[in-house]
Amino acid sequence: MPALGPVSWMLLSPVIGACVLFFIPKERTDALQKVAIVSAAFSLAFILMAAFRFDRNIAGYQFVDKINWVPSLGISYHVGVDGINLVLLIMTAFLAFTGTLVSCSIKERLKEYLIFYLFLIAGCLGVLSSLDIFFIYFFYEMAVIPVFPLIGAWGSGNKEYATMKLTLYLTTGAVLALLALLALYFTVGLNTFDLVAIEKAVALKPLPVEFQRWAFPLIMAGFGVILTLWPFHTWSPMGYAAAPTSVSMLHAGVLKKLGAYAVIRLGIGLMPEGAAMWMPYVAWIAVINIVYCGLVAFTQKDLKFVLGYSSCSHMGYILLGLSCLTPIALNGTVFFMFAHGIMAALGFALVGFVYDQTHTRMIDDWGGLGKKIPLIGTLFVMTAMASSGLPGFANFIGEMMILLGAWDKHRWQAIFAVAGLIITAGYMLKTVRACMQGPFNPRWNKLQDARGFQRLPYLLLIIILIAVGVLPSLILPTIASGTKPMLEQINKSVIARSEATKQSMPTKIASLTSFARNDT
Amino acid sequence: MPIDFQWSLFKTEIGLIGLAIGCVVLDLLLKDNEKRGRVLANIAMIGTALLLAALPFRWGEFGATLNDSFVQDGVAFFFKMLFLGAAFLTLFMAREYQDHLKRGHGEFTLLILFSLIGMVFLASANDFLLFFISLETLTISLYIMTAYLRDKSASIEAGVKYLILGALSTAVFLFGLSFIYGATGATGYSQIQAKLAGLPSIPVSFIFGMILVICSLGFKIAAVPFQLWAPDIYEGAPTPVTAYLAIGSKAAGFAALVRLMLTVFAPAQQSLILLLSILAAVTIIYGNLGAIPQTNIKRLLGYSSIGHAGYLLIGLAAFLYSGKEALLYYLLSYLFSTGGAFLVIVALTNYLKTDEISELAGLSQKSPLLAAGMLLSLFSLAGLPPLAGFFAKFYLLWASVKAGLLWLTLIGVLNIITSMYYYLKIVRVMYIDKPTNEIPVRVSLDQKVIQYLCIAGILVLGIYQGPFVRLAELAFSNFPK
Repeated sequence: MPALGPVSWMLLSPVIGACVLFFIPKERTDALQKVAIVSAAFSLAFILMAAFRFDRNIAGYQFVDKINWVPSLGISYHVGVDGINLVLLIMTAFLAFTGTLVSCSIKERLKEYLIFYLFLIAGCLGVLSSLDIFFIYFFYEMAVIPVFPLIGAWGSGNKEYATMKLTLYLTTGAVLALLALLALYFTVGLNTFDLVAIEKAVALKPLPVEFQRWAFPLIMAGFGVILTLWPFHTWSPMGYAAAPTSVSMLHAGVLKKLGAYAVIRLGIGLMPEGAAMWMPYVAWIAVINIVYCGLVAFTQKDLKFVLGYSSCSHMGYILLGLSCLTPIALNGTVFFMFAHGIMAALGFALVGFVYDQTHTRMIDDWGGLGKKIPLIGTLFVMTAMASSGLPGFANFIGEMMILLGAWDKHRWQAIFAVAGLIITAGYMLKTVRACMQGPFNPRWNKLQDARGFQRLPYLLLIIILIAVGVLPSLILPTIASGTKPMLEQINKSVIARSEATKQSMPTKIASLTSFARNDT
Repeated sequence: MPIDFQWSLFKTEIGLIGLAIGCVVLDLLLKDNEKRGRVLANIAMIGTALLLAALPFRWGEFGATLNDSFVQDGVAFFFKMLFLGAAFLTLFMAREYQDHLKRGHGEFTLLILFSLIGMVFLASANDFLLFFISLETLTISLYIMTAYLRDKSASIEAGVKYLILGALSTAVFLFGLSFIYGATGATGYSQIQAKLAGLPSIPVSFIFGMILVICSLGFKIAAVPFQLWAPDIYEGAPTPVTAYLAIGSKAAGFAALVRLMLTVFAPAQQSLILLLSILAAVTIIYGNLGAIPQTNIKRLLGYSSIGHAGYLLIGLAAFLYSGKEALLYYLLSYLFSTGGAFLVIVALTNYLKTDEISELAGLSQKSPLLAAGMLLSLFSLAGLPPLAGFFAKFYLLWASVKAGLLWLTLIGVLNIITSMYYYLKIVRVMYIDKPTNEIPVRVSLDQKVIQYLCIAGILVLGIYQGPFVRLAELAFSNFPK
């Protein structure tokens, strides 16, 4: 067996962790927690190591490991990173680490919980790092499954219905995409599932337009279900409300982005013409996502439902960004995926922290908590601001780039999307006022603020959010290096045939785009 | 005509017959009824395990004998391993189930061995007569076993139903065979093939006979429209017998179909694709929709086994396009997944009053191992990674797209969702519902070992598929593509 690189080790550490947990007796909660945290930390360490050694100037994938798995079907274990998935993997590893820290507060059946949780992490990391279509699908399903018992057994509220609905929705999407992927395999005709080989083949000779016409919507809708593409979004707020905190964190933060990632890699990357054909419709659906889900979030009384619908609404920006197929929008989309992942996870973590003590999440029950728990309260306000797209937080950069891209391609949709920003600000401010400010509800006199190590996950996430928001150059050039070949492909196949669209970029932003392009 | 007889090809068969006869003799010698059952089951388990372990080392001892009516080749070897594995699991379940039998503890083991002998010959049969005799050996043993709980009307009813419908399917088979014989004048597969090759076109009477034979085997594998017996009999039969029907008898039906598709039906394969794919589609839909409202776990597994027969039929429809390899892989994964699920049910029979799903409430707290075994088996049956069933379904669907049957693939993938719904319902009861009583569940060491074996099989087949795909391909290596 060849020596494995950091990406493989990142993927293996949660799996090894879960296997070790299996042999630890369930009474020894201390040891269980340590093993889980260490294995998640190792994952993080390996991907950061890869990030530091990553060279933006080399085209193609780096830290590649390839082992033939099932030769006769052309399946190989093949992992590697480029600019796109490296950034998303860093986000995932951070969320996995903080999520594991948070999940140590679970009291009942900790051992089983952690085993399922580590498998969930491995599934997420696997989708993002795999360069083989079979394994992308394999890990994708593997990430969907542990959520069923995690929500069902450790969740709250209407958990049985929620978890069943969530699992069935996501698997339905996945199997539809599977149909398209199998057809893709035989259309390419190379007898391989290897994404790199297929990408090369497609670059030389694009897939037949007829095939792209029907396969792209299958991929888009199939993976769109997990991206809460309207009208398939209803599983999400309900699922998040029922899920235990650390599962909501990972699900809202990472799993939704897996759908977007799959659309980028398998949909836009391999079928640019199909994408160009269908994206105008997607852009309108994106607007529905932004406006409709935003308005629904306005009316919610349960905090987790507010966050759930808010995250559906934010997915609209990702969809809008995907639909543009231009450099600034695509880079902005990946950037926003990173930012939203961190922000959404932080939001759910904070609500979960308070819920653990109050056992209610109704907005009306809370009130003035900022006085009692200043640290959590402050973080909550900051998260709300980040969510509304306040400059200084990473979300602003992503939303801005997406909207600029949309202005060129889909002007009307962009106008509606900007209106969506106001809706977000509206319900976020309303929620902050009702929960953290105003008269203090004496019911919560015994509420305790986060202390000592408890603060670590929250502070870590907010620091990332601000750091990337102030210094987007930390990750933007890396993203641009990853999207470059894909965009060239789009240019070659689509724009060469249609008339070149006029680029009218406001000068104020020109610097931002130019550096996103030039630094690659 | 001199009979050519090559003893060396019959090692497994002779071993099994020896084992069965030895058990008969011991059955006479041993006194204590209860103890006798256990001893015999143990001996039979050891015997089948040894024979199973010997098979891979004898891989390559291929040949044909008895005027080509008995062949040993890759396919035969593969199915023999499958049958021995299924019988081993069933024998173990039968041993654990002994306390529920009123009498005839020893004979129960013997019947399993006899039916196993039928299956093993069936895998090698290259002549319709040998095929018929081995099929009947298998089926008649199963009739008796199905009605073994003589004081339970459900069991008797199941046995009678099985007998009547089985006799009907036998009649259909013989009727079809008479047409085939009439068209070609031979019963040996090789002779029929040679005869057909000499004819300018395939006679209509042969096609008619072929369809009748497929119908009768459709009964064996519980494919629509010959599936009506399955749920009732799965529910009524003693649990080990249900398991045996699911993992042994179904595989035997497919062993026969695969052999026929490779030889006698080979010239007509193309014209069978439409028929088989329609059968597959209807079977998948019927089995999965039928399973949804079930509350009895054995009945549910009965319906789901119809659904799985449908998926396996996809393999036959896409036979020429790697469907045959996928089919073998699916059967292997089905053995471990269904075997694992039935192991749990048998282990629980002492604790549960009925076979209702609700009785499993809170199993994950009472016995994490059994709950995990059930969870993995069900997820594997539903086709979720990283478990055996996932790759098996993936392989089959891949083959079906390769064959250009996109509509069939669509039905296949959509029914994954349906099946997930009812499997997840069981998981929900085990993991989410609170236990209804406080009786702890004890799991014996043997049970643990076998359960871990099934879990290991499910995981290995799901994660490290390469060698097993290779094995399935090797099985067909001496047939032209």
